[in-house]
Amino acid sequence: MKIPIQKIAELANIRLTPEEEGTLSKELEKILTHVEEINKLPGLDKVEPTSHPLASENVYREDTVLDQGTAKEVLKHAPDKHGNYFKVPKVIDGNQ
Amino acid sequence: MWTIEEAVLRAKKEGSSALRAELETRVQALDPKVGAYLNTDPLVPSPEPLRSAPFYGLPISLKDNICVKDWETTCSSEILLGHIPPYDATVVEKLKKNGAYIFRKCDMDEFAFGSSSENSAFNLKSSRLKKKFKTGPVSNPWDLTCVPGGSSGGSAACVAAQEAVCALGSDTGGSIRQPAALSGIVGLKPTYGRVSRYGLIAFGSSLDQIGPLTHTVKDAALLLELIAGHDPKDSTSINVPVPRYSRELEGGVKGLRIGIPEEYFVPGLDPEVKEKVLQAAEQFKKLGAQVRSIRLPHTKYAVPVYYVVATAEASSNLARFDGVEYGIRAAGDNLSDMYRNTREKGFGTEAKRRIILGTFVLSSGYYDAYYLKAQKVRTLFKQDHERAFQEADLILGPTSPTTAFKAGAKTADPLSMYLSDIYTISANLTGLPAISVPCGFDSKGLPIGLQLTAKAFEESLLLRAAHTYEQSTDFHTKRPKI
Repeated sequence: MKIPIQKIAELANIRLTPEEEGTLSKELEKILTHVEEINKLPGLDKVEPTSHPLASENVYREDTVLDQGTAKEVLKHAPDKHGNYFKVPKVIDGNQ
Repeated sequence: MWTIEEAVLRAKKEGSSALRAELETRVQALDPKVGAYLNTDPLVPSPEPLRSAPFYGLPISLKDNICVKDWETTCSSEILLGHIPPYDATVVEKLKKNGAYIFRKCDMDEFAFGSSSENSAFNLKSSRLKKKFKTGPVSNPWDLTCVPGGSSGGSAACVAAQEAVCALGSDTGGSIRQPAALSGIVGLKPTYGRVSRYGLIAFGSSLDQIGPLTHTVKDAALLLELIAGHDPKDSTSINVPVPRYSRELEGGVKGLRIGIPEEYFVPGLDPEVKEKVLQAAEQFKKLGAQVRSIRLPHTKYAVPVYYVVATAEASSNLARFDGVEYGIRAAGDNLSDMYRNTREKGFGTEAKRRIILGTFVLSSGYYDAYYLKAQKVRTLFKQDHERAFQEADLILGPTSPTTAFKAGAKTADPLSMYLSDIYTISANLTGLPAISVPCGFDSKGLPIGLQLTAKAFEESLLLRAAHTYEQSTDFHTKRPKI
């Protein structure tokens, strides 16, 4: 299986150098060939998928307000901030 | 070597600082060779613990993916440099409450991605990072040219080198048990849900568990009873009572049914490892257990299934590292540029590899062929184990197919590295508890680990069997000369 590496890198928000694209494609192809072993298993269409190892139920609790005063603490190690906010580069382009 | 009880006894007699100073001396002398620890310190020294607390003065070494308040926590990744958690992980809170303190933080494979600890971002001669961190990889204390295993390699190496009394690691596909085996110590992965993961930086959320790496099985039992239990802050932690594991170790293994999966003894398993593991099975027979052959027919699909499920979950969990809230940021003209530049700079090769693979198996058009199929085979694993546990109380096998390999031996071939997890992955896919205990040495003097697996929440039985075996051998008393 060949991975559409540029498209996947874009989906994953990762920039890859052309060399990385080359080596990763090759390595991942090899890994996927190994993964495709599972296609040899017959009757999988009748098997239910498992997403959680042990049976568990949703946990509910009262929605209570706690003042943990963490805003300052949390912002302490932010790469960039403005007052009580995380600061990020422009999201919407001016001419759009 | 200090056991937990000896360390606490000593701290209670002499105060906690004498033991700490002695450990510190060992670290200064040995860690330049072993490289188990990161050179980070807490911003604020922890307050002197209560002398009346049961584990007063017990030093704990911690894998660097477990958050400690005011102590830089990096997952050995450049992307988290400068990340100083404003809170303690629940396990850390419990340890502190009981009088223990965090001694140092341990190196690991970046984001726990790896089986050799070579994927640490600090295993580089990069001038940007070397001022602050060590520049060498973690080495195996039994042979410094070999890897300690991974991803909790720092946690395993510091205990093996006696630069620590005990350590905590995390296990997603064998990351506690495999380095414990390769470093000649005890490593326990508890049942999924047994220990709170609040404050553990997530890798594979349906697989991750925190657990102890220790000199003895009794120490593993003591640490587990300290950290286990339900936590309202982790909705996957399960509310079942926590036994006093350390008081349930005696009683032996007479009549216990121990199953050996036929599928574990296949080509790829080192003959010396095989021999020692089968000798351990003989030892269990002598101790009164019934040893029988069992089947786990889907074993050969463990690695393929794991590397689909684990990378899918990792790609999703690692989406949060984008340069906005913590860690590093690389400049960009707009938000999306900034994300991409930050992630390009911050993630190492293995992290990128797994994020790409995980994103691929979840992407539209491939989800059914890979992710959904892997989840179905995961169901077959669970059924295999349910059937096996009708015939056996415990499953016995090797922890790792080989002893410690040379540094650099598998870095060029990711698949060969992935295959070293073949025996440990099943316990994560099924959520079952499993332990690795020393069962001998190969002809090069490298340690071999025996893995035992029990039914969910049967850690008492697991620890009792492991303790009974350990006490009938002397492998756990051997220490490396460094």
